[in-house]
Formats: sequence, structure tokens, C-alpha cells
Amino acid sequence: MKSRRWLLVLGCLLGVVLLAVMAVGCEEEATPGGGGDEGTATTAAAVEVPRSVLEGPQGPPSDDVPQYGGTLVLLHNRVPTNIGAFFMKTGFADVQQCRYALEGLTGLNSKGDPIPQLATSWDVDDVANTITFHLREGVTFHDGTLFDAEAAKWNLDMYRNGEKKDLQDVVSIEVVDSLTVKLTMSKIDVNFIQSLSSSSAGKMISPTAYETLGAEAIKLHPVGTGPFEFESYEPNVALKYKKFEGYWQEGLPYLDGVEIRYVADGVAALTAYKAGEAQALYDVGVTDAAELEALGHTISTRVMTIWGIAGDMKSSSFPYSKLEVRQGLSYALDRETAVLGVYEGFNLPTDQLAGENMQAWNSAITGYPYDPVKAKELLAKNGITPETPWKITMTYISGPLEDDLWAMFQEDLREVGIELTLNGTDYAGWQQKAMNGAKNELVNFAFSYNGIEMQYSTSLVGNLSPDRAWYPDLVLSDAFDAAYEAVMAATTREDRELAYQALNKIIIDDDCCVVPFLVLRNRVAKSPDVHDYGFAELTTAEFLPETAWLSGAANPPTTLGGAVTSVSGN
Amino acid sequence: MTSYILRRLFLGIIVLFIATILVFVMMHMLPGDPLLLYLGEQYLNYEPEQLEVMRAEYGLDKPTIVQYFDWVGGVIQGDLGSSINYQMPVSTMIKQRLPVTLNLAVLALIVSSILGPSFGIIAAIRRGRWQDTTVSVLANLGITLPVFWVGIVLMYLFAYKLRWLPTFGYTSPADDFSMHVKMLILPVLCLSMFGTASQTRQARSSMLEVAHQDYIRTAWSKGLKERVVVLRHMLKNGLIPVITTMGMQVSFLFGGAVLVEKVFNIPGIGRMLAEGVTSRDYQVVQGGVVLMALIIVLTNILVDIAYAWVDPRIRHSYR
Repeated sequence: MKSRRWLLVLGCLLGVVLLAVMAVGCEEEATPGGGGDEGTATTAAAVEVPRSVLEGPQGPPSDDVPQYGGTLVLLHNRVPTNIGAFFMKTGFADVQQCRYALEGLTGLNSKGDPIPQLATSWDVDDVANTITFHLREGVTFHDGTLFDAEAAKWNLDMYRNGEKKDLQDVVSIEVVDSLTVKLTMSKIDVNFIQSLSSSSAGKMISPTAYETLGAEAIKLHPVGTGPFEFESYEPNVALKYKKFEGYWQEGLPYLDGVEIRYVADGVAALTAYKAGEAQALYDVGVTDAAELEALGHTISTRVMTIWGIAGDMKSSSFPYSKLEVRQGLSYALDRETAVLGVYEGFNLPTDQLAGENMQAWNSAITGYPYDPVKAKELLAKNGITPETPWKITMTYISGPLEDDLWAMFQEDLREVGIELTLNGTDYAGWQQKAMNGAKNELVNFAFSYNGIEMQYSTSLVGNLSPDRAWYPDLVLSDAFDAAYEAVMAATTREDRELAYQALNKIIIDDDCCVVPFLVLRNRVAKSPDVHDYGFAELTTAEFLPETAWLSGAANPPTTLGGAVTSVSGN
Repeated sequence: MTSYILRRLFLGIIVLFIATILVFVMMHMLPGDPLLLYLGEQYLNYEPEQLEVMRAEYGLDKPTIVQYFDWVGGVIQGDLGSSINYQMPVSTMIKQRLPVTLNLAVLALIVSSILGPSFGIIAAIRRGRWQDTTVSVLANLGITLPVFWVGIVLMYLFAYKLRWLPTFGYTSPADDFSMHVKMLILPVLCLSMFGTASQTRQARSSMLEVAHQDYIRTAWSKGLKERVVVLRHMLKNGLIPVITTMGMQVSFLFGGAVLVEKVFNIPGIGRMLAEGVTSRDYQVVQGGVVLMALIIVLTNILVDIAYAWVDPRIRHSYR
């Protein structure tokens, strides 16, 4: 009895302590970015601040006058393995984290068109099959050596002879003068110039640094011409860049540095971001993005992939091999309700292999707007009805929202006689099915396409060409093959875009070989203190880091960790 | 005693061998291609022949059983293979990360080894009173609450709401000792939670058993002070089972480290293993498991030796 009384007293005391702690904790939502002043231009209003001469995918800068100072901290979930030598093997994370230090011969504007960067202009000779680049004068690498035609040739030769298939069409590279380099091509590909601004080819590094540091060390010690130079990399912890005082655009960048901190756990990353320990957060979940947006943060979205359904078309007894079944399946999906409902507008529905503002979008495509009556009609012709359902397994990339999405699609399809058994798996499990073929099953179809025209053709080759490595069970029609050849044979960007659109129409309206339903977008949260930071506006690989600035830079976020100078593995 | 130790070492090697086979088989049963996972959409920039060359570089083109024996051969020569995802030798990764995990695990072990028996002793000598009840309730909570959940709650409360501590990360003590301490408070608390709770219960139980022994009754009847009875007479016998559980704590600590390192973003072996599984980085997982199995086996051998030292009856039975 006595111990029960004590227990009661103890319980009350604990409750009071807990309430007190919660009361202390329930402050107003902290102002992110270290609680600095709101972005104002008053302190810098009287000062002329230089602007970048380059265009970027993020579009023109804001009208606010940039402020100098501060370190922008980005939380990322993948560590780099090679940010310094793109002619060697690179991973997905590398292309997103090198741009601060590396620039290319060309960049991209907000439409994905190639624009000058380290090359001020270029001349294309279709007769002689040459491309002559005129290089920018007065550019130095971070190690003080000059960027000139010899350095450009060295880099392009490394790409040509490197581990990837970049610059395959380049026959020879000639230094015409100190600022002119001429490429002789076996053929002029319409996307070649654009490819130099891509994540893969075209990033220029210092040949001297490569010789000095060595091939392995330079991978995690980029020496380029970019506005930021490498400061340090602590494996799995943080990559630090600092302002390059010798940057060719005088007066830029505005930031003192950029720090990329690696956080594997999404909850930890979000908590740290909300606590003001970082000003940008890569790969925010939809629910969190909605919450942050309501709090005044900016959510940049970048198209990553078009998702759809693909299946085995080779087995004649398998219902998916029948056009009417595929069409019925497509009509049965209420894309708008499911996608907009689950993703709260951060991802978009589609029934084409493109989103509405993308080059391959074809407004002439009829598609398959939600029509369960029509779906039932088409399926019934093939013996599929709610009374005699088609039972099939669907393998998809699982996630909390994806599970909800597929549950909604499952209901849509049940209504018309398709009983889906959902097999949600991780990315690796899905990838294996997509590459090895899903015999007598349906599988999530993913078409990487971030709005860059070159990316579309690359994905086309990988996913839908006759030599494709993925979805081997798709059967592509003769009309598709002819349209695909037309795409590859196009000699101008405009012709190729028209060819994409024609191909898109065949894939969707004529063959319906895949059933697209979603434009999947990646999200990056940026705190209200961050301005003109174009990361992940069109593509994460290309943006203008020199335009980014922080308001309230006098109160930078908490720096975690001490000084680190070691480079991993070396 | 020597033959006992040698026998344990031999059995330990067998355990390691079996562990590597199990992990190898299970990892290869998981769907997914490690090379394609690493390359992501970058794979489109490689010709199929180039991908095959890379695959051969990592031994992925060989039959599974050949891959295993190649790996075992490498391990015997000190080569744990190469990580596809990190593009560096596994041994280098382990050298970078092991000190971090050991730092975390040792601190957690110290905390649980001090707090656990202490609370258990208090609960035992104050059996039936509020101290016993409180400790027992807290111990049950410590055992039942998931460590990752506790970690997230602590992070939310102390890092986000109160701003007393950093959210995540790790700093070497050599770089900034004060930040090092701040960063480890929450992870160590989380990681030591289960160990503290289980040792509390074990210590309470074994102390209660010892308390009823005749020689303890004799000690009381001699009029000795409570402190003397507990520390001089009860403690040594009462702690024998606790020492055994301390050895088991090591395996829990390494297992718990996987979750704690992930939640608090600590670049240790646990996080390396978790990421290795997700990215199907076979050699990272194999190397990590071998290391952890080795540590656990050696620790258990040491515990047995300590057990024999503490209890002369066991020591003499080896002769």
C-alpha cells in the first residue's frame, strides 16, 4: 500500500516535469537559417552589386540586391565518389555536387538550350563536320593555372578516351590558337553541344592538378574554374567549398562558402533543417514539403521520371499482350484523383511520356482519360470482367505515398475486373525486375526525363530502343521502330522534337505499349534566407552557384564539427 | 585454461565462417544490381561493353560461389574487397568508421555497465519500496521501447525544440572535444538504454538471489553495516551473471549501433552496413559483418575468461 502511494506521487512528479519540458519546448516555430534578419536590401541598397553574366536553368535572378557573406548548408542523402574527374566513373550523387567547383564549355538556360559558359560561342560546320569553340579569356583554375585551348583539348581528350561513351563522335581535337579549339566530328549530332553542359561530359578541370594530385586523389578534390574551390571533404560527413577569390566573374560569388552535409536518415535531415542547421534540404518528402511551404520555405521541384505500367507483351496468352487490354487498363486509371490527392500537387498526372511543358509533349495525343465504362468495354472483349477478373501481380517501387497511390489504382482496376496483387519493393528489387523482365507480371515503368531534350533521347535509347537494356518484354511495333529511326536521324533540335512528339503518339495512341500515369518530381526545400540558388530548378547537375546569396548572413547556421582537412581514402 | 581458450578461439573461427556464408547467401538473394544502383541514371552514359568491364572489375560476372571463395581468399590476405558504392577499399572504410563506432559503443557500454548494476542493486536492497518500483518500471520501458523511436523523440525534443544539443553528426574528439561530447550525448543515451535496462533487471534478480544466502544472513547477524554487506559480500557473487550479460551487450550494442548511427547520422560501421544493404554493396556488408562477428566472438571469449577470474570455482574446473 505504501509503495502504491509512492508510485502515485512519483507518477505525478514525472507528469509535472514532462509538462514543464513540453511547455518549454512548445515555442513558436523557430525561424530557419539561424534566425537572422529577414532578407532586406536596405544595407546593400546603395551598393552596385555585380551580377552573373551567365544564364542558368533557374531563370533570371530576383530583383532583390544580393548580400555578401555566409555559408550555405545543403543537406544531402548521398555521398560523392567522384566530383573531380568526370571522364572517370561517376555515380548519381557526383553530378549533383560538383557544379560549385566545375564549369563546362556550355551551360543550359531555363528551356534546356545550350548557352555559353567557358566557351563564349561556337561555330558548327555541317559540311566539314567541325565544331569550333571560342573560349572565354581570363579564366583561371583554382590552382592558378590558365584555362585555355590546351587545357580544353586535354579535358576533351580525357573524355574521349575515358570510361564512358562521351564524345564518341569526335574524331580529332585541334588547338587553333590559345582561345580556340576545333573538334572534327564523324557526324554532327543535334544534341552534342547540349551534352557538353550535362552531368557527364564537358566539365573542365586543371590538367596540372590532375598531374600533381593523381587520378585517384582528384576525384574527391575537384580543381576547376567554378566560383567555389574545394576546401575539405570528411567522408560521409561533409563536403566543404569556399569562395574562389580568383573567379573570372569579378565580385562573385556572394557566398563565402557552400557546405554539403550528408544525412542518410530523412527524419534527422528534416529535423536539422527545421532547427536551422541548414538552409537547403535535398529530397524532401511530399508531406514535409507541404508543411515547409506553408511556413514560407521555397520548394523547388525538378522532373525526374515519368512513371507508368509496363508488362509482358511477348507471351501471347498473357492479357497485357493485347492492345485492348492495355487500353482498357489505361482508361481505368483515375490519374488525376490518385496522383493529385496523394502527392498534394507536388507530382503531376500524365498519360503521355512527357509532362505538359516538356519538349516531347504532344497535344495531338488523345490518350486515355479516365473512363471506367470504356475500360470495362475493352476488357470485356478479352474476357476480363469484374465477375471473371484478371488476377495479376504489380511490382512497383514502394514508399509510404506510393503504397497509397497503388492502393487507389488497385481500387480503380478492381472496378473494371483487374485484381492487382501489389508487390511493393525497394529500388534495387524493382530495378532487377525491370531489367530482367517481368514474366506474366506488370512492372513499374520509369522513364528518366528531366525536361532536358538530350536526356529524353538518352532515356529513349535505354528504355525503348531496339537495343534497350530495360523492359525486354515490351514488343515495339514497326511504326515505332520507324519513328525511332526518325528521331535518331533528325539533324536539328526542332526536327528531333517533332520526331519525339510523333514517337510519343505512336507509343500512347497507336500501340499503348506502356501506360504512363505520373510525372515524378524531386523536391528541394530552401529556407526563406536563401535567394537565387538554382539547385534543382531544371536539373540538379546544372545551375549557377555564383548567383546564390543569403539574407541574414551575419547569423549563419550552427557549424557542426571541427576543422577537417583529410580527403577520404588517400 | 589455455586449452579452453584455444578451443573457444577455434569455435569462434567456425562461427565467423558460418556467419560469412549466411550473409553472403542472403545478400545475393536480394534482388538488385549493385553496379546499376551506384550508377543510377548515369548508366545510360556507358556502352554495354563498358558496363561488362566494370562488372568484371568487381567480380560480379562470376558465379556466386566463385565470388565467395575469391572473397575469402582475399580476406585471408587482408583484402576485404572494394566498395562499389563508395569506390574505395572496404578496409579503408572500416579504418575510417570503426573508431567512431567503437567510441559510441564503448561509451554506451560504460554508461550501461555503471548505471545498470547500480540501479539493480538499489532496486534489490530497496525491494518492495518506491525505489524498486521506479527502477523496475523504467527498466521495462528501456527494454520495450524501440531505440530508433527513442532516438527520434530525443532528437526532436533536445535538438529541435530546446536547441540544447546538435541534431546529428559526429566530430572527432581530437578536432573539437566539446562538440564531440555534445554530439554523442543523445546517441550514447539511446544506445545504452537497452543495456542499462537489461543489466538493471539482471542485477536486481541476481542480488535478490544472493541476498537470501546463508552467508549473507550471517553477515547481517554479525551486525555489519549495509554498505559492507552489499559491497563486500553480496556484490561479487551477485555480479557474476551481470558480467555474462555484459558480454552479450556487445552484440546488442553493435546491432543497436546500426539504428542509432542511422538516426543520428554518425559515420560508423553500423551506418555503413545499413547503407551497404540498401545499395547491395556486397563486399561492404560482408566485410562489416566479419568485423562485427570477430569483435563479438572475441568479446565473449574475454567475458568467459573474466567469468572464470571472478568465480574461482569455474577457474578450478578448467584444471
